[in-house]
Amino acid sequence: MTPDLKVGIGALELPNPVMLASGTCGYGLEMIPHGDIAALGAVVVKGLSLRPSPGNPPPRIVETPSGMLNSIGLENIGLDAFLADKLPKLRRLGARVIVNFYGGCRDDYRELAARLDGVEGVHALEMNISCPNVERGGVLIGQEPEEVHKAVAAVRGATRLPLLVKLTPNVTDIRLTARAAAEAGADALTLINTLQGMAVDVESRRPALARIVGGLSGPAIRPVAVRMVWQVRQALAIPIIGCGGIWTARDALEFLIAGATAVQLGTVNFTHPDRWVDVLAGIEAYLLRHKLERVTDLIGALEA
Amino acid sequence: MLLTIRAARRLTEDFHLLELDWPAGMAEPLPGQFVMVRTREGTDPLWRRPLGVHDVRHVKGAVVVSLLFQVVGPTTRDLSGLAPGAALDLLGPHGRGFKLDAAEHWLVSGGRGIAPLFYVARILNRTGAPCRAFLGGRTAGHILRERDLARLGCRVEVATDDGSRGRRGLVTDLLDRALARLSARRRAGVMLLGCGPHGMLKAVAAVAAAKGVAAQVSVDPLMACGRGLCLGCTVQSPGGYRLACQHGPVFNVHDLSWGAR
Repeated sequence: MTPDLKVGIGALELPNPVMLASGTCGYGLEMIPHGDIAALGAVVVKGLSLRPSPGNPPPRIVETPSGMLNSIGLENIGLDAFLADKLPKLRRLGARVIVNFYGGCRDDYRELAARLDGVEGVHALEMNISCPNVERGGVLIGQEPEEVHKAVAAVRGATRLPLLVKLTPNVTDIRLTARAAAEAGADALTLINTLQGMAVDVESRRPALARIVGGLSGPAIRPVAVRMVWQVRQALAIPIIGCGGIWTARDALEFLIAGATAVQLGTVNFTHPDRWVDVLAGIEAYLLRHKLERVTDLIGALEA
Repeated sequence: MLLTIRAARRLTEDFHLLELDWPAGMAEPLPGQFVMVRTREGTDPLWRRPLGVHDVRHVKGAVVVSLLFQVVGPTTRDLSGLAPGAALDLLGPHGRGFKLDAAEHWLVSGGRGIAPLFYVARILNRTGAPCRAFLGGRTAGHILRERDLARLGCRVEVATDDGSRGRRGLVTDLLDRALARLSARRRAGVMLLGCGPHGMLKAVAAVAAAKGVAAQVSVDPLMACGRGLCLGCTVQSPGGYRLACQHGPVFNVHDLSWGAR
């Protein structure tokens, strides 16, 4: 008997709980050589802004123990180019597409959401209010519960699509911003974006990144992410998509058991572009081994 | 993709060469392209490491790809311990390589910068096109493949920082003097192909500008993925940012901004 991997995130029904995280899989098309992207739960494309953005000056990345820092600065081709050049191909392939987007102000968020509403081939939106790299908007909105509420409510009013809100972990209590997003109409929360970090080249005494501070990702942050997923699961009923340093199926299972309905693979795609195939197979094998009929039986199954 | 090591040898103290059986289903690398390798399970180091393709030979219908590297960290240390028959996890080839369409090509290398340039000499030898090589390095042990380049028909000149091999001084000074001896007409047919530390490449760009010759260089910023996913390996160009892994790693010198690090 094959276990049932289907999960529902609000009105969004997915064949399985494995997604690729925004900013780590291009616009999805880049992953075609590594597997059938229609077999993924969903692909979350690179964060889009209304107009193309060149991103931050180099150096933009540095490797750290079991992790990496980045200050890419949300470089992207802009909404129009995505709709014209990328989305038609994703649609033809049958991929479930979640569009990650960000703005510099609330009006940008609203306009992006309104323009993506009802676009064929866009299955859901993921609102990025948590990028630590863009000086305007971004982290300022994501760290204040009141600002989160206002921004999410504005977007909620502009779209009927399932709305995911990706939260920053750079707060004292993640439950406060999580509750604000849920109350403002989010259908799900993506937890977590990168943790702020910094590295120094001691020989030159310069920061490793041109922007000095960047976002830490990779297995180094996984325990923080699992903890935040569990905390929010305890506090709220809203579906959670767990994200942060998943390297193997075992890691993905950790998030599901802690309370995530689905997971996103991010940094691992850089080293193992086909790892999601193994993670999917590993989740299925686990369910068989533990005689579970549905992956949903596992969600929040932590024996605490 | 797991590839099999066919041969492994130490060239000098720090420098090693690996030969790999290249699977029939994989695209054959072009000169200047690179591969991404990893040697360990687990997450330290987290990223694969980019290595320029050093040589491609056809041996009895099979494709043999060589990688030349200097031991600088955990991955290259692991690579230096691989024996024939061992497997290497490799992705690629990636990137855009050298355009070889000039009347004559001059290779300018600093230390391990010879890695992608040797393959160019191989191609030029096949087509019978003229080739010169200027090899620079800290010391004699950092001058690599000198005799093999000569065997491929390259005229080779060497400079080391300590004078232990060739002239004492900078490889770009050798280059500058050699260009100065050419007629303007012949200079117009020269294409410089450079690979080495940033400071050396900057000097190649300056010599190229001063002498009015064309030049391409291969750059080596930190890379997480090598395939345009992470957008991390950005370099500055006068027209905006470019990705070393996709628009490069080989660039025309005019397409890079040399003021920035």
